[in-house]
Amino acid sequence: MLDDLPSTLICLVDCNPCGGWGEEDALALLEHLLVFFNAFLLLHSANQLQLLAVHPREVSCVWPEDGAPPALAPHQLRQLFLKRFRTLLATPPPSASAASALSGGLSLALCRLARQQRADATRQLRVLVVQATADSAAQHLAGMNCVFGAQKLGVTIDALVAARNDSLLLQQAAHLTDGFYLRLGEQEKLALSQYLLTCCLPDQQTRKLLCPPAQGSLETKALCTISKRPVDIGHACSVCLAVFAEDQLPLRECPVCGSRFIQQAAQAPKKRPKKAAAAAAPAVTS
Amino acid sequence: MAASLLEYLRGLSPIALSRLYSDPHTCQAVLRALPPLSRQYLLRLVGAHGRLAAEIVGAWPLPTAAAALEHKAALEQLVALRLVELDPVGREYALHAGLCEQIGSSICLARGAQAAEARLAADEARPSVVQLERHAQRTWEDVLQCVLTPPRRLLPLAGCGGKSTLQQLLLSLRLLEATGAEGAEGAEGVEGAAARWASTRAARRFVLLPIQEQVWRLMLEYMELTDTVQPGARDATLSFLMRLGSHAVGSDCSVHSLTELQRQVLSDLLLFGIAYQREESSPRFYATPLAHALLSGSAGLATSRRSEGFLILETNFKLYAHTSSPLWAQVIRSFARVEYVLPNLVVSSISREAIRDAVESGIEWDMIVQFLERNAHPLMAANVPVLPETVVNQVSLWAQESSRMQLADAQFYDKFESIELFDDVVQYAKDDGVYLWHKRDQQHVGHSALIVAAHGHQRMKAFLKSKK
Repeated sequence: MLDDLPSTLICLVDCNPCGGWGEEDALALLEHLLVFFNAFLLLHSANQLQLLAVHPREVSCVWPEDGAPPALAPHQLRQLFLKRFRTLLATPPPSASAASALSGGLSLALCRLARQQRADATRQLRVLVVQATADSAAQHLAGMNCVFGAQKLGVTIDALVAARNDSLLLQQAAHLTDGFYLRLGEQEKLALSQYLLTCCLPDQQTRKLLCPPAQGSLETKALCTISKRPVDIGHACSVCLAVFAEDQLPLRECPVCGSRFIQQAAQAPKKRPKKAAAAAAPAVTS
Repeated sequence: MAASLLEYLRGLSPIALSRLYSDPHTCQAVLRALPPLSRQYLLRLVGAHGRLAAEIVGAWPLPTAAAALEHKAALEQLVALRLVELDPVGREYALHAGLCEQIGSSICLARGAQAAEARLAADEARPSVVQLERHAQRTWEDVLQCVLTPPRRLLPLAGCGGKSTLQQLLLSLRLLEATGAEGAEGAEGVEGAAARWASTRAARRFVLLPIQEQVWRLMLEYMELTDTVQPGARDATLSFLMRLGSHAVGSDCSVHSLTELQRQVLSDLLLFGIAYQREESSPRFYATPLAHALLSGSAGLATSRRSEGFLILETNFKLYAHTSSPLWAQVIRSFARVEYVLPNLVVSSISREAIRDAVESGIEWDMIVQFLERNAHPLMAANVPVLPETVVNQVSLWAQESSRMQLADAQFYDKFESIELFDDVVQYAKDDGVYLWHKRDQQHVGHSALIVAAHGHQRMKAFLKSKK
């Protein structure tokens, strides 16, 4: 028999006004999420939900608010969420191309989860990321570090991506932490609450017993630290494991950690070449 | 007796269950009491508007033996509670329509049940969860005190329309027994009432049980009792309990939204410590952690541990209880020898006599061990194992001492006239299969003795007579 353990879920919702969706889309998606949140809170009396809104300017906590009562009826939650999201969507970003502070949001979520784990080690910890904009290459390294942190903490990351293209970071995040990744097409957007109830609602221990949903092909390419392009074959720094594309060589020192590379011959770079075939990349980066 | 809410519900009739499932709070409480996998299945079915083909449901678990086992158990639980029905052909699972609607509306934000609840003004003096837990603990200790030393004054229960009392409830739980007549002829009134009750052997066992189990047993009996006095009170009590359990601990509920019957039940729950009300006239009441413990499944009962343990057991069999409550001193006295009682400390030692007395009075030794473990002081609870192994082993040995021996009747013969006669008789007893023991003394034949099983006495007597 399974133990009846409470869970904590932190949901990160991308509120970038320049996102791939309009306000209407975003609010429709929020309705689906609310169904999921209510079901999550219904599951266990000690289940906890936190909602973080990710905006290019800031990561703000929507729920629980400071000073608000600890429990609210579902329709009150809904009003609160809608109000906060409308204001955030109306806040202009610093520049039109600014990306949401996803890695910042992830690290805030992990900090909060780590604190919960210290207080109660049996609690099951999860993160649900809803991303509306394309990946930001500048945040890739920080994001991957968060993912490894999550993996170590035992936090499962589920990801929903509403952008047109797949997210490299979130695919790898879901893969490494045994979570699920879904890119929302038109059809998926309509039946999103169904998907959430079926796939994202089970906690870690029930997931071990249930068939996982079908996952698309996994993109596990590493990103070149300098050019921010995905690379098939690259070189890795032996100290910090940053990855460099072939055409960036030779390098005198690692641009990430500053380790000096010994230049032996003029032509042969010191770093060991890395085979970054689909399966090998996470092994190298981890 | 049903050990948990789910078991109790399994025993109810389909009509009674249908009535229960039409209440949103009950649906929520039932959902939370289910095992984790059943909960997921239930919500998946709700997501599919209540109907799914059996093939789809069958494809849910991973193809491993453990998953298949859990899957089967989860579905069985749902079917036994009549939450889910498999159609006669076995093609489709259908969720109970009323429950599907209630759960569906509570997750899909229909402004039904929750919005209708009367709103209260902001609560300035909200009690904290810790305060509520302390209150529940204290109140429940008072109830236990009533079990051990029945009070002189009768405590009427409002849920029974004042026709029944707490003493009667405990009596039907067989925790109290009526002792003799209505008191002596001249000693009517207060003194007379006191003489009417005494705690039973079962009561001593009862106080050692986990608190959740105690509350659950009491509530089961309470529901039966109220139902005999006021038909329909059982359903009202049950749905009220569910409603309490569905509120977060520490959030307030309005008294005005209750029916008359529920208000009566509330005043009894206040007495048991399941609910808390600041003053009798206060418009709001709170659910205590006991209400939640009551509704959690059996898994919840097993893992729960009292947050404030007070017992320290040392390897030298000394037991220190950091408590000022006379109840716990009394409970400890039932299995240990109390050496001295200080204002906030009871020092006692576990001895062979004390354990033997406890076993004789109907307490099992593992109940004692579990009680000690459950109430372990945080300092001791950090140890692995929690209790010193030597003490636990010794307690079990002492407890089993009385059951290691079996008594059987036997017959003793001595003062034989000659050693030859003695040898013959011993041989006969051995051939007859009734021989147990003998002592042969050639010098003093009179000191030789033989013991045989009692049922062989008649034949032995005949044999001895024939030898004379």
